[in-house]
Amino acid sequence: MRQEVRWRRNRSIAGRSGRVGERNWLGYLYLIPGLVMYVAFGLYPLADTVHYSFYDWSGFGDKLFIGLRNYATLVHDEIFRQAIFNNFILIFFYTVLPILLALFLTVLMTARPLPGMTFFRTGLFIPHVIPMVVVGITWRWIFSPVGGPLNVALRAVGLHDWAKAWLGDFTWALPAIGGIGTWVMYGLCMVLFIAGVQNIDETLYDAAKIDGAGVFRQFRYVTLPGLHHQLMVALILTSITALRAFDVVWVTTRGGPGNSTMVIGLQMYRHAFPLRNVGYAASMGIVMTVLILVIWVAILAVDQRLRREWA
Amino acid sequence: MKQSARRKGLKQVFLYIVWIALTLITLFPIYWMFLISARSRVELFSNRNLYQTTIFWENFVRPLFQGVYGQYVVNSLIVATGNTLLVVVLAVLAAYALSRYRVKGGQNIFFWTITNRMAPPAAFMLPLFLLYSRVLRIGDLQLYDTHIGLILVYCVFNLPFAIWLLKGIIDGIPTSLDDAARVDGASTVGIIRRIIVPLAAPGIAITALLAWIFAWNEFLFATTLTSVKARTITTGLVEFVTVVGTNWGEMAAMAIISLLPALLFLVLVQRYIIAGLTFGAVRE
Repeated sequence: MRQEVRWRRNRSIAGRSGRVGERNWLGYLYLIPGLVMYVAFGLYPLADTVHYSFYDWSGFGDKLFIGLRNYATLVHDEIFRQAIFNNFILIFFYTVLPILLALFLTVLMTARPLPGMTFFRTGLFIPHVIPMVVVGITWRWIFSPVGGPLNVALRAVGLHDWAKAWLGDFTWALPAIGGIGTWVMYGLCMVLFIAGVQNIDETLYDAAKIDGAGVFRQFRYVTLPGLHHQLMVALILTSITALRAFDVVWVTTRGGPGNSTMVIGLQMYRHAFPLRNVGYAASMGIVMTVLILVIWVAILAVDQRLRREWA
Repeated sequence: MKQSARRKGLKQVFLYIVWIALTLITLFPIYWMFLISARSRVELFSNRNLYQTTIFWENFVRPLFQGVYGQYVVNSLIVATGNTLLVVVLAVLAAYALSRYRVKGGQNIFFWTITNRMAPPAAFMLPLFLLYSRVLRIGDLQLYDTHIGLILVYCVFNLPFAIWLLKGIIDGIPTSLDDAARVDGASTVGIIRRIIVPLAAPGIAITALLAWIFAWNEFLFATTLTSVKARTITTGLVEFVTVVGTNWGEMAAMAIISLLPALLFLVLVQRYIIAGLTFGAVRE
C-alpha cells in the first residue's frame, strides 16, 4: 500500500520534469529573462533601424517621412558604392586567402604530424583572440613609413622601390588592410580544418592509396569532402567578418586616403554621428544586413550542392 | 634503410624550420609592439635592436596610475565581469528550459545563434544610442555612458551563443538525476543549483570565459554608448591614436595590457577556447 503511493507520487513527479511535454509554461518561464533582453536590446533596435531608414532625420527634432528615398539615394552614392566594392575586396583577403593558406598548412601538418604541433597551432591562433583595435594599432607600426619593420625589411633585401607608406597609399592601403585580415583569419581556419581532418576516417585514405591516388587526388577526393562542414563554417565566419569590418579600418586609415579604404560600417558610422543623417545611416545598416543575409543564403546553397556532390 | 631514416630525419628538421619560421613571422607584429612598449621615447630612436633586456616601466605606470587608463581598465573589468555573470545566469536558465521542456522554436537555437552573430552591430548601434541617451531616461539617470548599459548590450550579443553551448552540455546530463532530486523534494531552482550547475561546471566556465573575452575586446558599442565614465580600454586605446598620438611607448604598453587577458586564457585553456570560438564546429 505504502509502496504503491510512493510509486504513484514518483510518477507524477517525473511528469513535472516535462520531458513528455507536460507543463510547457514552466519551460517558457525560464526563457523569459533571456527573451526579454533579446527583444528589448536586440530585436527592438533592429526594427527601429528599419523604421528610421524611411525618414529624413538629423537625430533631433521632427522626422520627415520620405518613403524609400534614402535607398534611392544610396544607389547613386559614389562613396557607398566604393564602400561595398571595398568590402568585397576584403572578402578576398579575409576569406579566400586564409582558407587557401589554411588548407595548404593543414595538409602539411596532418601529412607529417610532428611532436609539438599544438604549440604551433596555438601560436598561429593568437592573432584571432586579441582585440581588433589592438590588431589595428600593431599593424600601423608594422606598415609605418618611419622605421616600420616591413619597409626596413624590404630595403634590407634590396627592394628599395617597394618600400612605401602602405596605409597612406591610394593603391596599397586596401590590400594592406586586407593583409591584416588574412593574418587574423588564417589561424582560425587552420584550427578548424585540422580538427576536421582528424575526424576523417583513416580507411578512406588507405582505400584511395590502393586505388593509386596521389597526394593531390587524395586531397581532392578525401580531404576536401571530409572538411565540408568546417569549410562552410570558415566561409561564413570570415566573409561576414569582412563585411562587418570596422575596428581595423577605423584604427588604421579611417577610410582614407580619399575614400580608398572606405567600408560600409565606417560610412554608416560617419553618417550616423558626425554628419547626423540618421535616416540615411539607418538605410545603410539595413542594406548591410540584407547583404550579409544574401551571402549567407548563397553559402548555404553552395553547401547543399556540395553535400549532394560529395556525399 | 639507414639512408631512408636519415632522409626522414632531414625532412622533419625541414618541416620544423618551416613551422617555426611561420610562427615567428605571425607573432612578430605582437613582439614588435612589446618592443615599443618596453622602450623610452629616446630609446625608441636610438635602439634599433630586435631584442630587449630592459623594460621602461614608466610606459605602463604613467597612463595607468597618473592618466585615465587605470580607470578604463577598471571599467573594462567591471563591464566584462558583469556581462559574464548576467550571461551565465540567463543562459543556464534558458538552456535548462530548452533542454528539459518542449519549447516551441527551441530546435532553432542554432539558427538564432548564427543570425545573431551575423547581424552587423552597426545596424543596432543607432537605435541603441537613442534608446540609451533619450528614451530610457529619468532626469539625469540614463543608460548612456554607464557600465550597466554596456553589460546589457553585450549580454544580448553573447546570449544565443551561450545558450546554444550550454544546451548541448545540459542535454548530456541524464534526466534521471533531475527526477531523483525531485523525489527528494527539490524544487526546479534547487535542481539547477545543486545538480545542473555542478555537473555543467566546465561548460559554464568556458561560456563565461568566451563572454568575458567578447566584452573585453569589443569596440564599436563601447565607443558609441560611452563617453567618459564608462569608457573601456579598447576605446581608450583609440583615443591614444587621435589625442596623444605621439607617445608610442605608452600606447603600446596599454595595447599590451589590453591583449593580455585573452592571450592568458588562450594559453591556459586553449583547447576549449578554440572549440568555443570556432563555433563548436571543431567537435562536430
